[in-house]
Amino acid sequence: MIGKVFNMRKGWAILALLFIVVLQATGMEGCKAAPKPKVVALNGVTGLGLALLFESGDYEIEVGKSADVAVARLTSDGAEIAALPVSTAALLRNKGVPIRIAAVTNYGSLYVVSRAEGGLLQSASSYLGVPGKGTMPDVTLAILLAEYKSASSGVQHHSSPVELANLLLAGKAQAALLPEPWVSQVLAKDAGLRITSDIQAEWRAKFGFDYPLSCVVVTEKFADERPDALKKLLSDIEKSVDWVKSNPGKAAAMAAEKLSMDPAATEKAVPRCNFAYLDGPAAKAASSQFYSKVLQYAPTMIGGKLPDEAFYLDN
Amino acid sequence: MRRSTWTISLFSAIGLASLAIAWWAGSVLLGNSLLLPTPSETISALSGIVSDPGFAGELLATAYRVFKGFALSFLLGSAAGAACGFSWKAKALLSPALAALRTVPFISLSILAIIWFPSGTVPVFVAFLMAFPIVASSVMEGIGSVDTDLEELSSVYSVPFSKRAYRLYLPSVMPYVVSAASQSLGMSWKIVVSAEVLSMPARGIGGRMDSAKAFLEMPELFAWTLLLVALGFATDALLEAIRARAFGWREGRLWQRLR
Repeated sequence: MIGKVFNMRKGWAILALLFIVVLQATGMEGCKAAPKPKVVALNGVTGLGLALLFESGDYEIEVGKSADVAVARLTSDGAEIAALPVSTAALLRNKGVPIRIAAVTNYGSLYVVSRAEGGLLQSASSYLGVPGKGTMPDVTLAILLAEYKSASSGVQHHSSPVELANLLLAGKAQAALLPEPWVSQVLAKDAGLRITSDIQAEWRAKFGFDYPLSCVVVTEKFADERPDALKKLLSDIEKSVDWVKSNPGKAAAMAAEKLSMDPAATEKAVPRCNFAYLDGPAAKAASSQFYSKVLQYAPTMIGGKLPDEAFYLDN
Repeated sequence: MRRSTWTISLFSAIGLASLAIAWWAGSVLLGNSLLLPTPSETISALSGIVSDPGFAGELLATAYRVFKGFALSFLLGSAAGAACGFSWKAKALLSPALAALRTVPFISLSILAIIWFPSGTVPVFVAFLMAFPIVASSVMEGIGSVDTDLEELSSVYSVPFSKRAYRLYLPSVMPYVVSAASQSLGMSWKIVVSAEVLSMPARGIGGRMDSAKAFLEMPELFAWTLLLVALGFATDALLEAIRARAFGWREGRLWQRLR
């Protein structure tokens, strides 16, 4: 009996302790004045554009390997800012995550890398590896193949660009649609591989405009409550994108340290990443044009509808 | 004291109902179907999945992989377990491999298998390797459980091996075999689907779950999970029926039947 009481007390004590820990972890941060904005950046080209933000020390940055991390942080107040693929941003908005698109940071950087001859359509009908479902490579390929009314029987999904790059190098995948910097990475490792299709050129030829690839989104709360922080964020992003474009070597060194990306490949990749900073109406024009194509050909990839007007940040 | 089956069912029903209520309350409290969809959203997603024309194909693709992985691990695992049970040499020879397989993480096997095999073979291979040691050690244990007195007796009376195998070894080993089968089957469902998520074959439940995740269709993800639980229950019930027969067979006086 005594033992039982003692255990019960111990149980209560542990519960109380847990409660305090949770309170500390969740409640205390709100007490600080003007905390550093929290950012989730995906590794790869999307995070690379924000290289300078890592160094400034003004932001608390978490690097995610896939969009899931960004979803988790944005829905649970774990982050106010996220660097995401443009398609993912609209999908999140349409699924009820209160975010706004603040800036576009680069145009497309997708290429088909192959050992064999033949362009995009030939690869898509025999074998073409795509990294992940709902990713920008997946979205753009689905749209192009639908527009060409071409066979997609050879399209094979893989779980990540890293895995697909390994399969390509091991000779298990004949062709792969990869984003930079993985394109440069596989090209550097195997002289037998070549770029057989430039998705940006294919896209421009079909639709007459350049599609945006990465963007930075902010939560509605952040945009509404911290306009000064938002203004600073946008100018920091603009500086960072320009800096990465003109300092590939330094940017690659930083990517190696913060984003665990191969520095040599990243340096070579920068010119092919099509970095550009767009905000306000320009960002809206670039992304909404793209979304209307997604809606036409692959609607599920952005949640079945165009994002509403409030999605676009007015500035 | 024996509880009536009615009382047991009542308590199981209460357990099930409280699970459902906890789910419902959690989803209402969170108020965000991205984090936790409500039961009704999940049920409507489930009916959407089941009425999809491609549903049978996805289900059969996964079920076939589960069957292949299970059959491989069951047959080869039983053979290896029997060998270990009868011969100390085989046991010494195989035990390092079995010990290694028991502890190797699922993810290591999957990553390697993705590079080695086509995407549809990966789940079968991984499920086979994960279930194999479980079946093997269970069968080995079963053979170890055979009554040594009866074994000695039957050799004194020179009972032919065929009769000994059928009358003495099989009845003793059977409960172990059935429990190994149940464990490895349950494991195969989980492993096959997990490996499908990683290897992404063209058809299969794992691929559908990955799409649901990618397009943030959380009710659909929950619906597939419910479906997998139901499938696991169904195949387990099937084995339970077999187990009941096996136990019936085991009972009775072994030695009388040996004569």
